[in-house]
Amino acid sequence: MRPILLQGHTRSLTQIKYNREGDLLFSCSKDKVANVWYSHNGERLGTYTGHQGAVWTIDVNASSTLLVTGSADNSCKLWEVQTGRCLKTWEFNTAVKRVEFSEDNSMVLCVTEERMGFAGTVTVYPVNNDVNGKQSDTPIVTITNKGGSKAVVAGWTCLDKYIITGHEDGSICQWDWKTNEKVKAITPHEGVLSDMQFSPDRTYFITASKDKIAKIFDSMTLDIKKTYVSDTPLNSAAITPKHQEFVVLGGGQDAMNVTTTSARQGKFESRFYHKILEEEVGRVRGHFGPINTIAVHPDGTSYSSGGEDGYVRVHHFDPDYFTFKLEI
Amino acid sequence: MSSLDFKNLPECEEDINFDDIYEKYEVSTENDFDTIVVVDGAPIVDEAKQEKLITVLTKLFTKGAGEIKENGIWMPMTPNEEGKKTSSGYLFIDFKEAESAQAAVKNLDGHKLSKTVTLLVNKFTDVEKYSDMNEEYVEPTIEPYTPKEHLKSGMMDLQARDQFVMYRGDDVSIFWNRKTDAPEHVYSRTNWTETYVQWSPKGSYLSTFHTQGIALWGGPSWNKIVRFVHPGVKLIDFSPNERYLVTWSNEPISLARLPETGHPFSEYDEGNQVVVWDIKTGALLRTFPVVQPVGEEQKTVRWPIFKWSASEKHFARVVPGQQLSVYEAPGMGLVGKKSIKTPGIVDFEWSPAKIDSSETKAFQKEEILSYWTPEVGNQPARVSLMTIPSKEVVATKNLFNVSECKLYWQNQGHFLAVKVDRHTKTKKSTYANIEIFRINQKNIPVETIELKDPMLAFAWEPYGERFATITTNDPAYGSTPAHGVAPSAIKTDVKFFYLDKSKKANAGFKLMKSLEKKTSNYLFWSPKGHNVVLATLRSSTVFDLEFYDVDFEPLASDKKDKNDVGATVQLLSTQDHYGVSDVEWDPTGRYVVTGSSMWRQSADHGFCIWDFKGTLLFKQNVENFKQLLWRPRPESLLSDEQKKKIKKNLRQYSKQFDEDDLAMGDASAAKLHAERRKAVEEWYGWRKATERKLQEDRK
Amino acid sequence: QEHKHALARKVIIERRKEIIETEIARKEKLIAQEKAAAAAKKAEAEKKRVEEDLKRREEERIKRIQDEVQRDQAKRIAEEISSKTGLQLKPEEIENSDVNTLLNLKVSRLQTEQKELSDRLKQISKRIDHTERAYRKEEIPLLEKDYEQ
Repeated sequence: MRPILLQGHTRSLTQIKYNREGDLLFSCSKDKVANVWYSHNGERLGTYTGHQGAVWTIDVNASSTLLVTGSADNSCKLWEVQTGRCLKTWEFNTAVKRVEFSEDNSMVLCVTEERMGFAGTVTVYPVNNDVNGKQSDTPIVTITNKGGSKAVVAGWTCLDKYIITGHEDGSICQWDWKTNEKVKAITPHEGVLSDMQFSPDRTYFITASKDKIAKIFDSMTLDIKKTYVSDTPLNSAAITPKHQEFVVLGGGQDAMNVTTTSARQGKFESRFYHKILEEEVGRVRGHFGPINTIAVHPDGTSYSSGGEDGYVRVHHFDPDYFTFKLEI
Repeated sequence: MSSLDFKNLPECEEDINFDDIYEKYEVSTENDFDTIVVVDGAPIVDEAKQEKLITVLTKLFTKGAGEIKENGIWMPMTPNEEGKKTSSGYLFIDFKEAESAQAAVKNLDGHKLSKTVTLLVNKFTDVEKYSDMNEEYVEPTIEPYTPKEHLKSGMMDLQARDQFVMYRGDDVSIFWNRKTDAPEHVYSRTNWTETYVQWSPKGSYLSTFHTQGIALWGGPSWNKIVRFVHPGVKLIDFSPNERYLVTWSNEPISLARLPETGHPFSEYDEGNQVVVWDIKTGALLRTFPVVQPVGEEQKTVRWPIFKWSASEKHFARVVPGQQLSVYEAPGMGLVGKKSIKTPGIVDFEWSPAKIDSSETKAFQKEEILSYWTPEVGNQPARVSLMTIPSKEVVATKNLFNVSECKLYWQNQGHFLAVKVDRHTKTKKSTYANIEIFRINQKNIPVETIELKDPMLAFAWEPYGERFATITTNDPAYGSTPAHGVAPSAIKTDVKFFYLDKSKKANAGFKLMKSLEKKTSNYLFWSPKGHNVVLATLRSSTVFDLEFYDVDFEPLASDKKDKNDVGATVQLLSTQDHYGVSDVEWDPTGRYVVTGSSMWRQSADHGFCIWDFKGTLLFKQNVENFKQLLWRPRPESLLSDEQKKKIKKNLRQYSKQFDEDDLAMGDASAAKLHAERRKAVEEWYGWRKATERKLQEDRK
Repeated sequence: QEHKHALARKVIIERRKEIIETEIARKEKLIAQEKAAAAAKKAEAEKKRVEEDLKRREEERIKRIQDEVQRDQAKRIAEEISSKTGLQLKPEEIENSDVNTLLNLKVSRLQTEQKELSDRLKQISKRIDHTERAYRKEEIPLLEKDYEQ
């Protein structure tokens, strides 16, 4: 089926996210705004304006009432999804590169940049899910990877037991956030981590790295369960939750390294791999620049990709997709 | 010894002033062993008969070789078990002249003194050379490997697969080609070479390059077989049957910079840059200086400097503008003791034909080389054929308005094609002619094919009577694009020519098929002939590959035209490989590898394996991919009759191979499915356990 | 009386003359009118004919161009067929078919040709591979002997 093109952002996409039901798709971009769209037809519902810098990251809570964004303007903002009203602004010393609601929606983690003498942190704030309630100014915990490489992505494990952080040097750490202690650390990648997405039950997660490789880890043991080798630096990796045991990878050479023929070469394609067999099963092309972010619909019936080219492409899977089978 | 003045190198060998060497030579006469021969196989005698034997031998050697020095015969006598002194069967003879010693070896080696006694005569220096070797050349020769490994083991593969070497990043690896499956790894080493790798012409050795010299590897274990010390070595060239190796270094040999031992060089090698080695013994045979063309500082070395004849008996080089120097191997001396003066000579090529003593034509009992000289004054340019060692010119062709010639021998030496770049009288435009010498015909006739356009490529069909050319009439040819503009692929025409052998008056080489408006700039014949790959290489925009069969019986649906000889030229498929920089056929003509090397391309490095019809079998992107080279194969040990018989019975073989393939296909499919099943089971096993654990934790 | 009679006759004659003249004039006018009408009609018909002629010629011209375009296209396709596949079409084949039939012809010929080509190539491929393998199979014992020496 032809993809739906979401044209509303004027600069490259940084992150896209579906809400729990998958009827809404949230996107943020370097153009300083976040948008929300109907995922089935690509109609734009609203825009969240207020950030003074590129919006790096976005997340929505399970009831689709609250939206959180992190920006290069050194702040995190909490928004009312329905009205676009900014409910709270948390200020930081440096840019916010990643935000994520905890599984129980009572907290949000914010990954901040290491810059100008400020250490990179993972700061956890409590969230009041009442849109009219008061939001706290006091963080629950601030995690700093002392002496180690800065965190660039992070997420919550099942039951919010641990926070997993992915770092610039390709390492991954598991934190007991309640005691602010590092439980485990491994270095499974040779390049900077670019994305980390969890399975629906958060018992495992996939990482994407500039080293052209994506891997699946056990959230509890950090054992490497699967490895997907591609031929291009990866920016995003997502897991299909239903219908097919696939993962979707996206990336491409950075704009400055892109040759004019790379598009022809298909380095800007979304690549589908069989999650268990680690074999590539298909590609979807369309973007004119690297793919920065990929998200799969919670029903597993469609997926979307956001590119350096400023477009979000929403793809509803063809009937063939659902009947595809590798011979086992 | 004072070192040579490098800025003032002699222009040719004859011009080299040997005075310093002679001086050295004089001084060393006292210790010079050139006059001494060793006689072995002499009768063993006691003291009583010693005198008599010496008298006999003195007479024999004086008569047969030359005057012997006073007390010039020395026969070592050693006590035997009974305490009686006897000779040991060998003795030394010291002649007055070195020539006499040589004559002794020539005339009396193998001389029968009686029915049972045969004398063996060797020059003392030779004996010493061989016995010295172990001391002097310890490094290159003592690589312990017993029993010697089978250097052709690569040919013993039951599936008749071929090997290739791949150089990526710092790793060099050998693989078996497995068609559509990932190549099977055989052997790897990190930092195996410092610059690149090269196979010997028959695939026995893999050569690796190191700051200190060259190493050759081979056999099933890929052990080091021999090493040649040559600091700074950059280029090498094997003789056709792998007996000799020529190495070139940009650093002149300097004893001062070498350690005292562990290398084979002496003061005679000082300042030289080219070394000829014997591969079997590891011995240095001779070193040579690099000669620069007159009044020209050559920045790049034209390689190979020395070209080998097909028999390996001769090798030669050209001193540009002056002469051709042909040497003998392994003797290393100039053929006829002097170079062949050939004013103006630019380049030459040996005929690859094997000398056949049964050949009826006298000149073909010798090796042939071709060379060309440019127009000088009123003298036309000229291409000549010369036999070696008799140095007789057997054919010439005069040419006019020539700016450049290039010599192409057909691989059996049946034809020589000369690509002649010509300019119009006004010198405004250039175009190419092809002059073809038919070596096997009486008087070696020459025919001319006029192309009207400049020619980019020429290639004979191996074992064939056809050739292909790439020409262009694109005005953009030769012009450099504006700065920052990617060079566009120029339009080219590909033409196939065949030999019309009919009795008609106009018989000869004729156009078979012309393919117009292509972008191809390279063409590659299959080593077995019949198939050709046309490629657009090293362009930044076009990466086309076209696979042709020139002997394809036209399809039934095609219009039948029996007079159209070009009807058999069939395009099998058109493909492209982004960034392709190199193309190589495997030695069997079954597969083609295209590579995108980091040496030539900025991105997307890796290789593709195609079959001869252009079906992509395997593609791999390889970070820092540098080289992929098929391992060459030695000549088949099968006789033509045996081959014919096999072809005749191919059906039976085919049946077996089909069964083998099917079984193997089934086996590999079964293996794949088993692996998949295992992966799936493990995954769901882990998932179940994890989900159960999560359930419990939730409570 | 006579005079009166004569006058009267004169008057009558005059009258008759007048009547005749008027009649003639009327007739002439009528004829002229008829003539004019006929001329006009003729002119009209001529004009119509010219127009129709023009139209017809225009149509013919257009048709010719279309035909030519069609033929050109057909020729182009035919050339494409022949250049891409080596398949030659007879001139009458090109002449007598429209673009669609040619395209269909092209597709069907291409398909049969592709099939034949791939079948033949499969055979050749097998022959080359099996010959090579048979050679090597027979060569292995010779290689072993060679090595022992």
